[in-house]
Amino acid sequence: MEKIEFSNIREKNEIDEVLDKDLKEWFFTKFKDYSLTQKASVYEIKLKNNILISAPTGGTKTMSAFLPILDNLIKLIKEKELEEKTYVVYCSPLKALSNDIYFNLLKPIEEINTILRKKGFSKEIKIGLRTGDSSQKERAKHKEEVPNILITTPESLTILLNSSFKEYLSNIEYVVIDEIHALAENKRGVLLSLTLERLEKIAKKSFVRIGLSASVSPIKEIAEYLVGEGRDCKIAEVYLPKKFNIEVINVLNEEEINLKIIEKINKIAEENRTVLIFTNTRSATERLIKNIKENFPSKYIENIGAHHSSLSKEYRKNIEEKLRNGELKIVVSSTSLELGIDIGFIDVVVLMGSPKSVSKALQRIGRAGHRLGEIANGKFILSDYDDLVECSVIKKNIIEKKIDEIHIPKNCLDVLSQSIVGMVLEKDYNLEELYRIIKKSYCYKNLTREDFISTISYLAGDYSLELKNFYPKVYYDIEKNEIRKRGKLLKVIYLTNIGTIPDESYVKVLTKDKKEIGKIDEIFLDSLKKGDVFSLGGKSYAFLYCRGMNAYVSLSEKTPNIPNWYSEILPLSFTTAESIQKFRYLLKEKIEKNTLKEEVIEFIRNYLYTEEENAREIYNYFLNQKKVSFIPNEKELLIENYKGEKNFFIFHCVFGRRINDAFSRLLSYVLSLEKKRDIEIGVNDNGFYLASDLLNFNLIERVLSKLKKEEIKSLLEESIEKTEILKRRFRHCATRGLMILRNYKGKRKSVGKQNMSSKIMLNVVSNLTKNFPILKETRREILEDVMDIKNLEKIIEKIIKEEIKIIKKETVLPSPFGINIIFQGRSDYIKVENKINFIKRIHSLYEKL
Amino acid sequence: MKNFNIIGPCIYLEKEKILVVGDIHCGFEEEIRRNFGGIYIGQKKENFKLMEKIIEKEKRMEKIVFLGDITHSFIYKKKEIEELNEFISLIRNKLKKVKIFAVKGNHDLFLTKKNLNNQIKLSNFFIFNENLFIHGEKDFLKIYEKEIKKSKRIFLGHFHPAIEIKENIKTEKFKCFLIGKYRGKEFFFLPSFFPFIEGSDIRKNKEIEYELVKNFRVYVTDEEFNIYDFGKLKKLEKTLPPGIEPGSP
Repeated sequence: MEKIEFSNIREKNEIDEVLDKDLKEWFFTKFKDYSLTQKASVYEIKLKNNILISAPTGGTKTMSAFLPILDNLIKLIKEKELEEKTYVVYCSPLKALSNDIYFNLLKPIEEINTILRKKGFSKEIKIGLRTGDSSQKERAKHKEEVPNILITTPESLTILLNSSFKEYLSNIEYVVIDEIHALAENKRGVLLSLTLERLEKIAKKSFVRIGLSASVSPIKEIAEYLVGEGRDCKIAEVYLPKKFNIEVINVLNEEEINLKIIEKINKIAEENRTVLIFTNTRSATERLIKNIKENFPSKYIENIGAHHSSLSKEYRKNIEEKLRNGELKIVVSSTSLELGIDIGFIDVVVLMGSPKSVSKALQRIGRAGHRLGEIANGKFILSDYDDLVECSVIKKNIIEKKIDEIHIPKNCLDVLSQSIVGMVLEKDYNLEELYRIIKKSYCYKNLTREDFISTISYLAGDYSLELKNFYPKVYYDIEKNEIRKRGKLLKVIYLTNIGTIPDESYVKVLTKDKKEIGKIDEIFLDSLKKGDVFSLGGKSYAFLYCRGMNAYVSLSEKTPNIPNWYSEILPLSFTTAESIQKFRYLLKEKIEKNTLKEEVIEFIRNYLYTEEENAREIYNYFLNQKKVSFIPNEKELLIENYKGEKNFFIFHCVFGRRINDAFSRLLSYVLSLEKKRDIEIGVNDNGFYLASDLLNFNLIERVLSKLKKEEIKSLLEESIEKTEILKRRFRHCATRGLMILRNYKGKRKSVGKQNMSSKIMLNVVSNLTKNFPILKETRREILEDVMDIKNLEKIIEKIIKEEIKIIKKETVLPSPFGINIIFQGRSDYIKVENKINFIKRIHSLYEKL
Repeated sequence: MKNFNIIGPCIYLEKEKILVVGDIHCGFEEEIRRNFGGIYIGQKKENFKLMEKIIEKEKRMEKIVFLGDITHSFIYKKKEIEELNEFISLIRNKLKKVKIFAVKGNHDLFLTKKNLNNQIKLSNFFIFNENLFIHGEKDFLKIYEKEIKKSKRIFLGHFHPAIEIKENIKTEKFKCFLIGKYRGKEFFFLPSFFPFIEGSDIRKNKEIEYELVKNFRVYVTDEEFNIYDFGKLKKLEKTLPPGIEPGSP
């Protein structure tokens, strides 16, 4: 069994002892002393231990990793053993970040090389950058002048394993994974974990794995993810010397809320040099800039900018450049500025609405005062009562260092299929050997043999009886128990379809002189007529015409519409959700015990570390809820029946959308089975509603009481059977699993075409077998990654054991806590009624009229 | 007036003993497979099954008229023609004496008498007893002005009409027929024959002039060959029960 343990903080002299004197000479011309992070990690890396370094932004993590690495390279030079090979791979989730690191390392390495030259050593350390943006020429150069340190991204690294560059990787000694927490929680991280195992096969000896991460939980699991099965790992966890100054500002009682928000922002901008504002969606980013510009037309023109992932690379680079030069007063971003790209000095970060988790909040606010020791100023601006409670709780958790747990996807059969194809393209594999290598990855350590074999048979094209149903990608030799590549095109297909990020249906936006501005959703484009004006990057453009997947526009002065991109708001983290539920419980107790109003407010102030004004708002919000209905909390789940335009049953449960989504689908599926009719559902982080004329309390209670923990999974699987989410996610999984090719014979397939073929394939596959690996993976992804079945099972168990009691209320109006659930809940329905019955019923209704 | 029957996605003319069939797009599947390196979806089998079911219901037919787009690719594909010929021989096996006609659709650029083994009569249009059969390219009213004048009923494929029905937040799409009078002539828009794809909602289809079809009746059909008359298209919005509406265009 592998050992995961925390590293010791070493003394300066201990580190001095193990580092090369020339390196130290260079280091101490730059820094006074080793940082805490370096004291916790450099020694371990020198001992060739794997290590996960967790420290806040600005915590000198990069240099902690590179000090011992550079030391080792210098040693090789001095011993004349440095070959024309790559010894170090550095991998980050963003091209921009890799870019930054590359340029930040150029200078130190040049300086070290100069020192070495002076001492008479002719060899020097070479560093290279290779990402999806690198040109053919740059790549070719790497083969002539092999970089000893290669800066790259997970996808580019994966591609390298099937290229002729592979031979230069055999001396690999260190792999650094930066922002590992941002990779581990999605399928890019799953791909990377397999890629690292493949790299182990190429390396002459096992390399040192170094993970760099922001504060994350559970930290041991991230360490296990970093090293995989059967390897030890140290953890250097450095707590925040970084100070946070967080203010929660509400504009709840103001009139003209939008104007008040803009005025607050203007005031903050006046008091500071540069303000970075985070919104939760790209649309909100555009809307905010539009509002600021409209209200202060002469003040904010060229000194305000947007930065989000739908803007073109050039556009974003330009904004980053302006930020570094201090030319911007306000920059508004959705998520794209969260990770550590160098953006210069930011005084204050403003968060519009809840960031939904402590780690997101830390990451965003951490962008202010980038250097350690500086105070990070963060301000939440809120216009909604639920957000006020949520952000206050997030603030409490930041102060009390209660960090949310991340979820690492496991046993993803789509990524597995892709990687196996990559592996057999390298060489022929014995089936058992292949299985062993895959199981070394943390994400596949529990991969069952059954799933493994089923994936192989999908790839070999012999799934089920309909032998000819698939294009086989590998050849399985039963006698030799060996897997080999198949088809001349396979390598091209693999290399042009690698990756795990699904295409969304975007259309490029260009000006008439072909300058790219960004992209908009295909569906939004459909709604545009010639001359319609919309906003992108904070500027207004009039739509001219469309050619293929490009939309041409010209600048406009008119008031714009705001484009919609596909829903992207993150779900509330379960840890934060639990804290809110607990707070609701404590506050309910206080209010029900008839404690004096001022005492309760005092309690809220202390408990949430919040301003009095906020405490009063929260108190009133809870009191109103109690008057109209009941205060739901961690021990009591409130179900409200409100007969409005529909017959609503509102479930008050702050479990976060991942659980509420699953919970509501499960219930409405079981209910609709009884009634043989579809039931509408609406979900948000704080609860969900079911709406149908056929529902009543008795029925709901009966169904709830009959739920069994063991049946949840199969019921949920049935409930998503015909849903849009299954169709969409199937397309994603099918492209990852190389079942649908995004690129084929040099042509890129539009999302529309991908959708069409995925729809058809889903039909065929569903009829073939329930256990087809790509379909199975789609269901797993929905249940485990999109939703959170594990925690739902725990909650339902609590309901069964009556640790959570059900409270029923009928209300004339939706209660204060319920309003957002009805009006903001993302609605969907559970499909039980088939198409034929649906049209029959609608037609008979029609005929009766 | 009604001397036609709707059978699944087809129309049967009682008096003339003609079965009218919408677009079948042989080779559609091949296209998908070629483009995506994907899988076989069994279009051929599904087409066969559907045709067998129709023949089962109506054995007296003497003529079959395909309304064009019997093949899918715009370029010559041997496999596609083979698939089509297989389809035709299946029909011949069941109905030995039937005469088969096909209007040339915009997809059927490479179809010739020869590569169809003289099994099908090909033409840009056919007229039998004042019934005009055309594919339905964009300006069909102009292009076939002369022929339309001579006929009473006009049958068209090409448009793949469908209608979306919405109940609260649920939307389902159904293939449908559009049948009605325009300038004294009766028009029949047929849904596509081939399974898998419903088509596009009539009101979203930019190729059909809404003015032309707004007074036409909408007939929805389902896999069980039921027919649901939903009345005139323009009235549909008003006559559906509350909470239910045709999906908004």
